[in-house]
This record gives sequence, C-alpha cells and structure tokens, in this order.
Amino acid sequence: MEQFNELYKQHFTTIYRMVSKFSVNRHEAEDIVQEVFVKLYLHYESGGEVQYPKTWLYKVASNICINTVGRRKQTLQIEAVNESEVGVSERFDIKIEEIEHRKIIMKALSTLKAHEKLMVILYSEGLSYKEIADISGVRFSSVSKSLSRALEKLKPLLKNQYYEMLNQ
Amino acid sequence: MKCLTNNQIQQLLDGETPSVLSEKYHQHMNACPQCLERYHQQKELAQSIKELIISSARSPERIPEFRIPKTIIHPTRKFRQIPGWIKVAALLIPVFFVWKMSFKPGEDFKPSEENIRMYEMGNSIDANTAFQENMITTKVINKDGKVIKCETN
Repeated sequence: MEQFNELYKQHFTTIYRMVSKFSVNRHEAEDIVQEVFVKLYLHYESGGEVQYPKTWLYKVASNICINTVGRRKQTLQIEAVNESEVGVSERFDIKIEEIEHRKIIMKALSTLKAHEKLMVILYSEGLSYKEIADISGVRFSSVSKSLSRALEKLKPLLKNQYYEMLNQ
Repeated sequence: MKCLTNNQIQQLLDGETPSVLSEKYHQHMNACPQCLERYHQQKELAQSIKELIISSARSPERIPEFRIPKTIIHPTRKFRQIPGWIKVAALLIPVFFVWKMSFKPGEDFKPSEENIRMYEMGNSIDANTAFQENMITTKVINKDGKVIKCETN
C-alpha cells in the first residue's frame, strides 16, 4: 500500500482543487475526494493496476462530481431551494467579493453542457487533449472544437471578470 | 491556404497541432492580419477563462489522514461475514458429487456362466442369417391392421 499512500499525498490537493471547480461546497468536495481515494484503495486491494493514476483519479472524480451536481439539481428543482445558496462556502471568514466572484464563475459554468463544463475544467487543469479525451469520453479529434465553442459561450457570461483580468 | 478555423487556432494555442501544420498556420497568419488578430483574441480568451476558473478553485486546509469509512465493507470482510456452515456446505457439495461420480465401490463386474454363454451366442449370430436360410416371413395387412396373409419361405 506504499504506492497508494504516495499517490494519496501526491494527488490529494490536485483532485480537491479540481473537484472544487464543480459547484460543490467544502463538505461535498471533501466527501467526493475521499470517495475517489477509497475507490483507488479498493482497486489496489483487489489486485487491480492503474497505468495512469492521474488520469484514473480525474476520471473517477469527474464522474462523481457530475452525478453529485446532477442529483442535487434535481433535488433543488423539487424543493425549489434558492439557487444562490448552491456552491457557496459556509465559512464566514472568506471575503464577500471572493464568494461573488466564485458564484459568477460557477453560474457561467453551469450554463454549459455537462461534457463542455468538464472539458473546460480539465483544460484549466492544464491537461493535454489526449488526457481530456480519455477522461471526458469525447473523441480526441473533437476536443479542440468543443473546447473553443465552450470558451466562446463563456465569454459573454464572464465579460466583466474577463475585462477586469485583462486590465490588471 | 484558407483562413484558420477557431478549432485550428485553439489547437495551435494549446500546442496540439502537428509541427508540419503548425508551420503552415504560422506562415498563413503572417500573411493574414485577420487570422493573426483572431489568434491573439482567442489566446487572451482562453488564458483569461483558464485563470478565472483556476481562481475559483479552493485548496484543502490540510491533507487529512486516509481512513476507509466503516460503511464500506471490504471484499475479504464480506467473505468473513458468511456463516461457517454455508462455507462448509459450499466446499462439501462439489466434493461429494465428484466422489460419487468417480468412485463406485462394490460394483466389480463378475458375469455368470449363463451370461457368458448368452453373450457368445449373441456374438455368433450373423445379421444375414435370415436371408441365408430363407427364413423370411411376408405379412399382408389390410387397412384395419389385420393380417390377411402370412407366408414363410
């Protein structure tokens, strides 16, 4: 299990950061990351091998995130809970600006289709097209097309943040 | 060469274009100010959105110690939870059938003298004997199944 412990230490932060880009709160993010590593642990325990651990972890994490966010969306529709509550951190010491900033980005990302959102998030992780294709299940030849389309969709939604960033 | 598509520009930005094509695209952009402009715009857009999304990510406060939740039952533990008598039965049933099929005590073949004689007689009868000895019986049967005529050669 030395191999597992090493992977856990090496990838925990990366996977946590990736998971937090989906509209999940801190508790959900911790649970998802824990679930991902439990799956990896059981996989190793049952004698399985993982050729590319990073890609494997990303794939499992993204599947769980998509399911969690999808399930919650359905629940929210039924219960008619205020949308602004989604994905907002419960911690009080974070600046309101930061929360607002995060909220706008999450809202913009939520307008994309599930696979587009996943691709944009993976792209922001600095993964190659091949890795993005492997994880998202999109054909390698379609990655750049879908990606440029998704970025174009985000442009008007993140206009203010985008220009702020350019002016800085 | 035609103007570059968004798709081609994106590939170029991300270093995913094969080197031969990449050279061609750059040559085209040097000659086409519109494509060069689009290239810079798309570069800014991709970079900014990437950074915006990165800025929305949270870091963990600390890396917690890994613990397997109690609710998850490990496969070996699942096996341990099966009652002992089921495990014994699962082991004995196939063993019993294998033993039953392969080993049959007290069934040594000891034919009697009569059996041997019958066997020898049976072997000595030729299938063509009836023809050779003209022992052929002909029966004529009517519609109701009654024997009308019976002849033996």
